[in-house]
Amino acid sequence: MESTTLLIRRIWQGDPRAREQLVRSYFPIVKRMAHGRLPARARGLVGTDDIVSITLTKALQHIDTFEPRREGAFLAYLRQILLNEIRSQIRHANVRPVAGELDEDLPADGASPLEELVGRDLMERYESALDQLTPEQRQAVILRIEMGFSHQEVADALGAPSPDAARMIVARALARLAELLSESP
Amino acid sequence: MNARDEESSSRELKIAAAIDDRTPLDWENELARDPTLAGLMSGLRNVEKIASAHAKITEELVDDFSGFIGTVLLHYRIVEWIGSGSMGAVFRAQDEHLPRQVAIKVVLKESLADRTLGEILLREARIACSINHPNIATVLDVGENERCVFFVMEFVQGRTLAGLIEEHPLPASVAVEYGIQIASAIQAAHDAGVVHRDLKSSNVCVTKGGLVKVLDFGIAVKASPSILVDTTAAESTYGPAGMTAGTIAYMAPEMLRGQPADKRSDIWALGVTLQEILTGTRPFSGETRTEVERAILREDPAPLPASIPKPLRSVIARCLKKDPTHRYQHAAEVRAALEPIRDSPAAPAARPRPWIVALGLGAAAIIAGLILWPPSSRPPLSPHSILVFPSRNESGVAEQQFLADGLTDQLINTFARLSHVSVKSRTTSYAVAKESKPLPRLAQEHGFDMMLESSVTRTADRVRVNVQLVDARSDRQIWAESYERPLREILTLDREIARGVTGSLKMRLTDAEQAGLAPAPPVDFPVYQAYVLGRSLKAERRYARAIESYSRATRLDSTFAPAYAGLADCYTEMAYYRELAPAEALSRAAAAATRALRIDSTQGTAHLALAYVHGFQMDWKGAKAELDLAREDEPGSPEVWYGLADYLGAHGRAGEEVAAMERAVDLDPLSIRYTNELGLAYLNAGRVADAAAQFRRVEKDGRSDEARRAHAYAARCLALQGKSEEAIESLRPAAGSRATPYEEEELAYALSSAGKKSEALRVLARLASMGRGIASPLAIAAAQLAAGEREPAFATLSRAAADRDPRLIWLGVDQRFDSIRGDPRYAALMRSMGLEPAA
Repeated sequence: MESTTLLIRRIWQGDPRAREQLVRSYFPIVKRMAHGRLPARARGLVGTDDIVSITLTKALQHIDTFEPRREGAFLAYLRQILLNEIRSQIRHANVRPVAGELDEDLPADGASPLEELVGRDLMERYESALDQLTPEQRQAVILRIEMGFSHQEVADALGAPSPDAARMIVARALARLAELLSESP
Repeated sequence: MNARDEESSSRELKIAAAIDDRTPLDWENELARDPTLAGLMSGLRNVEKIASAHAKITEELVDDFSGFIGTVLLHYRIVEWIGSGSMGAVFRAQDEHLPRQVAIKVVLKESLADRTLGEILLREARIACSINHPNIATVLDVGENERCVFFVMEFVQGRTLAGLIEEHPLPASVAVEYGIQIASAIQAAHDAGVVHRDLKSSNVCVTKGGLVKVLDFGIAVKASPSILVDTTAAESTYGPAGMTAGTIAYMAPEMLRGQPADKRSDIWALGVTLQEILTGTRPFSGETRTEVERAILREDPAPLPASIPKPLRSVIARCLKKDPTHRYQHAAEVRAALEPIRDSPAAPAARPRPWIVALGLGAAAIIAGLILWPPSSRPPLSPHSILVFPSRNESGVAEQQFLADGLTDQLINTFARLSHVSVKSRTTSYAVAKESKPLPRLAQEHGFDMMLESSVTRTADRVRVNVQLVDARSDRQIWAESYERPLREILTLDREIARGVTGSLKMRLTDAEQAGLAPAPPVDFPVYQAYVLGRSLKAERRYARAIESYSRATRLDSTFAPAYAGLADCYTEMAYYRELAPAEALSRAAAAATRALRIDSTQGTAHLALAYVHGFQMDWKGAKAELDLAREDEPGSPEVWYGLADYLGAHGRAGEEVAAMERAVDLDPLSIRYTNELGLAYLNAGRVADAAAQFRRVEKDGRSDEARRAHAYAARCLALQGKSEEAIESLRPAAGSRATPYEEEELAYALSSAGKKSEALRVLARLASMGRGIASPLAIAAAQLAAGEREPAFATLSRAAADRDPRLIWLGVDQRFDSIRGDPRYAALMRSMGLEPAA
């Protein structure tokens, strides 16, 4: 894959093919991110693919103001846009009556698959803990834990010298995350 | 940080690393070892929870493989999922380097029994890449990443044998034919040192042309033992593509005993497959895996019905000997044993029908077929009717597509020159290629009995062409050949192939035909390139660009006759469609045609162009002479028959015109232009109802020019049948659309016929305002006449005659002018065009 930084530079220069290529490369990745985070109910209203498209479109709209040095940063950027988008979709879903009738007892919003697995509370704490990590640690967690990148891929995306170096960054990031997620700090 | 803190920190990092690596953790134990971690432990547990949740979500995605869609492996972009098995999935993918589709089989590493298996698979697949056999779906590429190993294969469009059998067991003749092809495939692979190990009916694909393709050679993945245990013998297919895993029903006894599979295990599997084709069931069955195993190890195969020829039963029995040394030792021996069964006249000769059954159509479909595809009421064509299937470009480069297209056109043109062959037109060939129906059915529907398939591969300055002639009714290969020539000899190949075909059919050729098939002088590649491009542009009626291209060819090689003939062809059509002033177009056409014929007097296209030039100039004798020459050169060309029909119609010979036009339609049944022209021929012959039927057929083509022409002519039929009001109604343009000149012409006639003179005159005025030469003088005069405006009608006709408008040639047969045939001015008009007035 052509380096993301290079692609973005080509986009700045107005190369439409670079734009297309970027979307093509990141679509499946963002889709994977979206998969676990979109509650079933919101998914019904707008398909995962739509959310992914919206995310990528928005990311590209603001690409002029964004200068990623590493792919990892770009992914974190995409992830942020995606999460915002999902939140807005959930809000949207909440204000819309379902099938013509408004049931006050209906859960305000369905849980996302991830929330179903770990609970909403923990997911929220995780998100806020992520924000407290250094950018590199945050990206490492996203790439490795959320995206399932290999250590080599993490190293490439973060600009780390070797897979072992990436392994180290990930372990440190997870340890820091654990501290932040401890029940009794 | 004190020593204890450091130790904790290092332990914490280790745990974090374990979470990262997804190593299972014994939390209690960890806690016991370092109680100071208690506070952090809950955090680590939470991290572990989050990591597992994400991994689970990712796995779910891997399960349905949607995560692969859109990703790129090597340079193959995955487009869609085709099928899945327990270890992986098959996807359709687009090669981003070459314009081709491929199938990618993705095998997840975690589903492999151990690490080395992945390596073995890759090594074997790399060997399999070297196998090149028509009955094997070629492995094009292999690769791996962190998660999976994957195999890029030729994308085969067809149905699996398993799918076909599921609908109906296949007749012996088919089993034998498929058996021969599978055996050939196995032999080729064995020769390359590759054992399939997982041959089964779902790993065999049959293309619509009846070609068998064995899939997964060299990449047949043996499931890890746990997967095998989970799989019952009864199940065989998992997805639409029938990718299967762990079916034991095809496993040879030695494999069940844990011995490695060898060539003879494939021969066993072939025996199982053959029996399955014939009976729909496998020779060894049981309710459970253990029962199947026992049957394979100890029991005799289920007996085959006595209706199956004995030699065939013997072949299968020998494939299924428990002791591998008692089986055939080579696949070639199986093939050798099957071939005499196929060729024996007594054997499974229950021919034509079984093929329909064979291709998965039940009795109901056959009955429906009789209704859907009534036999043509027309007399049979020449003894051999061939469809030249569009040649495949195997160069892997889109730029070389024109080579394949060029060869297709050349072959069609060359066969059109032979009187004993009726070749389907280009339109039909390309239309048939788009249909995904079994060959025998296509043959029946489109009326051909043989199909010529070819592929073109260009390598640097050489070209290789593989051809095979297939009996379309039985789907059996009649003849095949491979040619490798320097690129500049590509123009001679069509003749060489035609010689091969006519030779294989023991066809008698006239001296002229033999001369026509004599080797052509080689032509330089760029010349050929420009010529082929010109031809395809002309087919799209992009005359100006076609002319550019043909001219480039003639500039490069001033002795290349076909390019001059092509120019002449373009110019005559431009004259007819008024895309160039007729006088100029015709003089250019004449010059180009003459030049072509001076170089090569057998250029049928050039003769036809000259015939039109003469005809447009009312030189009928000259036209007839050129038409005769064109027919001699290309008796099977629909264009020539169309030209002849025009000539006959102009001469008032409407019955013969119909016959010639029917012949053109026979040769090119999918051409809507010819269908329209046949309708007009029927009108000339007074067969209004037949004409209307033709126009209705074309009308279905929607908004194309020809369809709108047909719509207008259909209205004329109504008017001629006394239903003028209906005609007027049908011609009212739909909201937002504008009437074509054809529709306006017919509207004027219908209005006149209905006695609505003033309205008719308004329409005529509109037509006149379109500019001179746009509206047909014949149509205007007909409307004027129907409105009782006899004098203006004659004035219109005289002006057109003075202009030498070619559309006037129909005056003698057009029944709208029946009322003036007695008028001396009519006779004078006819004579002014060099035609005899009808009695």
